Amino acid sequence: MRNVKGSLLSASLAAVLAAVSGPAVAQAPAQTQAPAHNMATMKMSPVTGPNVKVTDPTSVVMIVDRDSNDIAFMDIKTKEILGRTFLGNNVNPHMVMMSPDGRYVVTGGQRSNTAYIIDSHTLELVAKIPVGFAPEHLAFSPDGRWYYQGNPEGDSITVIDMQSLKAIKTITGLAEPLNITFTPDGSKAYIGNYGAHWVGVVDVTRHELIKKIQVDATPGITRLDPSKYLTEIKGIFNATPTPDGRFLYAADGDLGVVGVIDTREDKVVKVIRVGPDPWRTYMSHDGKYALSANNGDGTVSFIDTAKNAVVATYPAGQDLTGINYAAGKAFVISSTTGFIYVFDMKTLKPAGRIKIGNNLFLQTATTDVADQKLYLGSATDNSIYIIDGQTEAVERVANVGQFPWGTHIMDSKDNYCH
Amino acid sequence: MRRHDSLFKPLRSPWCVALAATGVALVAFGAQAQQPAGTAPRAPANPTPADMQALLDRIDELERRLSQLESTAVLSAPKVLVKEVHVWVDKDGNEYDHAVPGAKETVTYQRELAQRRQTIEDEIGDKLAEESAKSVAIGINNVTTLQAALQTKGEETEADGHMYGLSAADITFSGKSAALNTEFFADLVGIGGTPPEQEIDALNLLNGQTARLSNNQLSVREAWLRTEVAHQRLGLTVGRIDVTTHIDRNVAANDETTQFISDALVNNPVLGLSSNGFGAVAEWDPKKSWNFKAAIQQSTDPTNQLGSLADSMFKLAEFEYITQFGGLGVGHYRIWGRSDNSGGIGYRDAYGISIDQKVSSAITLFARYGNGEVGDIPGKESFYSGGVQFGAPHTLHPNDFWGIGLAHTDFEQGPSEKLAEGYYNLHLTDHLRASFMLQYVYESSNGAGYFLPGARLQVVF
Repeated sequence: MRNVKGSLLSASLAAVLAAVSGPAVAQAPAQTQAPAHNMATMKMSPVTGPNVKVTDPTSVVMIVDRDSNDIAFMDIKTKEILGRTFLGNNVNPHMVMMSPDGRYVVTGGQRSNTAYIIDSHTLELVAKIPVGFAPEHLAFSPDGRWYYQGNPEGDSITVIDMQSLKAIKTITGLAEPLNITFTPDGSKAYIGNYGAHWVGVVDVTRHELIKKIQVDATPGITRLDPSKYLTEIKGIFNATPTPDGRFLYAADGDLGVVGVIDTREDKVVKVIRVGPDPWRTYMSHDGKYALSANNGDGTVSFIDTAKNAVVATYPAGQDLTGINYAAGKAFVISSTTGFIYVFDMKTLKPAGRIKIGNNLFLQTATTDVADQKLYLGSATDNSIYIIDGQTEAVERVANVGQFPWGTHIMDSKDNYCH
Repeated sequence: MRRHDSLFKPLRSPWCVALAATGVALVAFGAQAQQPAGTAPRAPANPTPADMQALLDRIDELERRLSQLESTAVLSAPKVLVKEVHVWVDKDGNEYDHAVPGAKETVTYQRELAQRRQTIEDEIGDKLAEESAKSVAIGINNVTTLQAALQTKGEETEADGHMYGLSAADITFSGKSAALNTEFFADLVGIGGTPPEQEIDALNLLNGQTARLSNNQLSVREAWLRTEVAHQRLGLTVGRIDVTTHIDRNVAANDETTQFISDALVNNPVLGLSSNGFGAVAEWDPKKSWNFKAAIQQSTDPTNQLGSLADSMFKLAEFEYITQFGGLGVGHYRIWGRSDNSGGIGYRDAYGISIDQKVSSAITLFARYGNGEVGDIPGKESFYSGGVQFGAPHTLHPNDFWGIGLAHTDFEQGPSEKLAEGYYNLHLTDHLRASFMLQYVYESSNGAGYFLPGARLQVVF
C-alpha cells in the first residue's frame, strides 16, 4: 500500500511541477526500481549487456565534478573515462559513494537539495530523491540497506531505503551534521556536528537521535572572546573509527582537542589536546595512529591509539584537506600550496613532500584497495593526479570534468570527503 | 535559509488548495495516460483526504525550498573561470589541445564556464578571499612590559626599588603575491620606554624586546623579499633581515613577547649580533628530517656608519636535525657556526647548539650552548642555558603555557652572569595575552643580584 501511495504522490507532484515549473523540474520523479535482493549478502560478479559501461564496480575511480555537475567513472587500469552521469545544471554534487553491494552509486546535490542514485553498471540515473537543505556527506549502513544523507544546512539527515529507493525518514535535532559513521554491526551511527561540540548517536533501528556525546567542556575563558565564539562555530567534522569500530576519534575545531569515544559505553574516555583548529582525524589502516590535521597552524598531530596521546607533531603546509595512507606512509594534502607532505608511518618522521604543481587547488584523494596508489582531485586544472605511494611518482589525468573535488574507490580504506 | 513564514502563509491558502486539486486531477489523468496496464499501481479515481494532505505537505516543502532559494542563492548564471591550459602550437601558430608532431607544448590561459550555484555568502566570501590574497596584509602587535628591580645582593645600586616600563609596537606588511612563490615582508617597530638594563649593568638584556634595535625611535626591524626555487626546496631571502629568525631557533625559548623575556633565554649571546641589517639567507629544506641554512648579515652598533658590505659582516651556517626518539616526542637538534669581522680585528669565530625535545605532548625541554670569540672582546665567551616549558593539562586554561629557564654567560677574561626566569603566559583571547614573569640575575662584575617581578601584555591583530 505504501508503495502505491508513494508512486501516486510522486506522479502527482510531477504533474503539478510540470504545470507550474516547466519541463526541467518535471523530470524530478524517480524512476524507481525496487531490488528484491538482500544487499548485505549479494556478491558481485561482472555484469555485461549492451548498456553496461562498467562491468566491475571495483575497477573504477568515481570522480565528483562539482562544476560540470557530473560523476565521472575512470578505469583504474587504462585511466580512461568510461562514462559520466550528468545530474543537471547547478546541482553541484558534493560527495560520491558506491553502495556496499556495488550496485548503485549515490551522491548529494549540494545546490539542488536532492540525492541522486546511479546504476553503477549502466551509469544511468535511476532515482532523484528530494532530501534536506544542502546535502553534502553521506554513508551507507554496513548491510547497504540504509543510505544516510547529511544535510548540514538543514540540520538533518535524510534516511533513504536502498530497497525501495525512497526517503523514509528525516532525522532532525542535529547541528550542521557533516559526517556519518556506522558501527560495524550497523546498530548505531555517529554523527559529527560541525555546528556543535557533540557527536550524535543515532539508533539505526528507529533512525532516531538517541544521545549527544560532548567531546570536551568549553573552557570558561572563551567568554572573553565573543568575537570568535559567537560568530562562527567549528565543531566536530566527523568521528573517525578504529578499524574494529570500538573507539571513535572526534576532533573539535574550536576546542583544539580530539575526544576518544568508546562505542560500547557511548562515552568519552580520553580528551587529547592537539594543534589549533583540528579539521578531523584520519585513521591509519592498521589502527595504530590517528592523524589530526590542524588547520590553525598547518601541522599534523600523530595520536598513538594505544596510549591515546600525541607522540609527534609536524608542519604539513596550509589548508589541509585530507590524509591518505599508502605504502607505509601518510600523505597529507596541503590544498593551496600544491604539495603533498609525506610521513613515514614506521619512524613517524617527515619523509619529504611531493610537488604536484603551481597554482593548484588540491582537494581530496582516495587510495586503491592495494594501498599503493592515491587518486587526488585537483579542482582548478580539472585533473586527477595519480600518486604512487612507493615511488612517489606522479601522473596526471587531465580533463576529467570541471572542478573535481572528490574521488571514491569501492572498498578503499581512504574514502572521505571535505 | 530556514522557513520564512511571512512568505509562506499568504501563498498558502487559496493558491495551494487549487494547485493541489489540479495536481490530484492531473495525477489521475497522468497515471492513466502513462502507465501501461498491469505494470504499475493505478491511481485511485477519487483521492482520499490522506492523499490530499500528503500533497499539501509536499507543496509546503516546495514553498520552503523556494523561500530558501530566493533568500540565499545566487541564481544560475554560469560562472566564468580563467584556467591555465596546456596546448600544443605548431610553426604556423595552429593550436592543438593534444600533442602533435612538430608542435611545441606551451601554457596559455582560457576562460571556461561552469554551472555552479553559490550562496550569496559563498560568493562574497570568495571575493573577499581573492582580494585578500592579492593585497598586502597588515598586522599589528603591541607588547607592553612592566618590570621592577629588587636588589638582593651587593652594594646598593640605583636600580633597587625602581620600576621600568617599555612598550613596543610592530606594524607588519606581508604581500604574498609579488610573484610565483615569492613574498615581501616588512616590519616597522617603534620602541619607547625604560628597560631595566639602563640601570642594571647586565651582560644580557633583561628585556629582550630591545635586542638588536634602537630604543625610543621608529626603526625597520626587517624588510625582505623571499622566493622559493628548486621545487620550493630552496628558499632565498634577501633584504634587511633578522638572522635569528632563521638561525638558533628554539621551540621553547625563542620569543621575548610570549616566552622568556630575558634575552639570554631568547637567543644565544655568542651569536654576537648587535643589530639587524642587510643580509641574505639560503635555506635548503627537503621537508625530511634535516635542513641546512647559510646566511650573511651585516650587524653593528646602530651608531656606526658602515663603509661597505665588507664591514661588520657575519657569516653563519646551521644544520638542523629533526628526530623522534623512542617513546619521546619530536626533537630539534641544531648546530651552527659563525664568523664575523665586526670587531675590526679580522674574522673571529664561534659555534653553538640549540636543542628542544618534547618528552611528552605537554612538556618540552630545551638547551643551548655557545662558545667563541665575540666582537672585539678579548678571549672567548661561553654560554649555556636550559629549561622546560609546560602546556595543558599543566595549566589553568587549555591554551596557556609556562616555563622555567636558567642561563649562564661567562667571558674568559671578564665578568659572568647567572640568570633564572619563570613565566606564565595566560591566553585570554586570540588577540590578547597576559604574562607574568619573575627573573633573578646575578652579575659578577659588581656582585649585585636582583629579583625582577614583571608583567607583560600582548595585543595582536
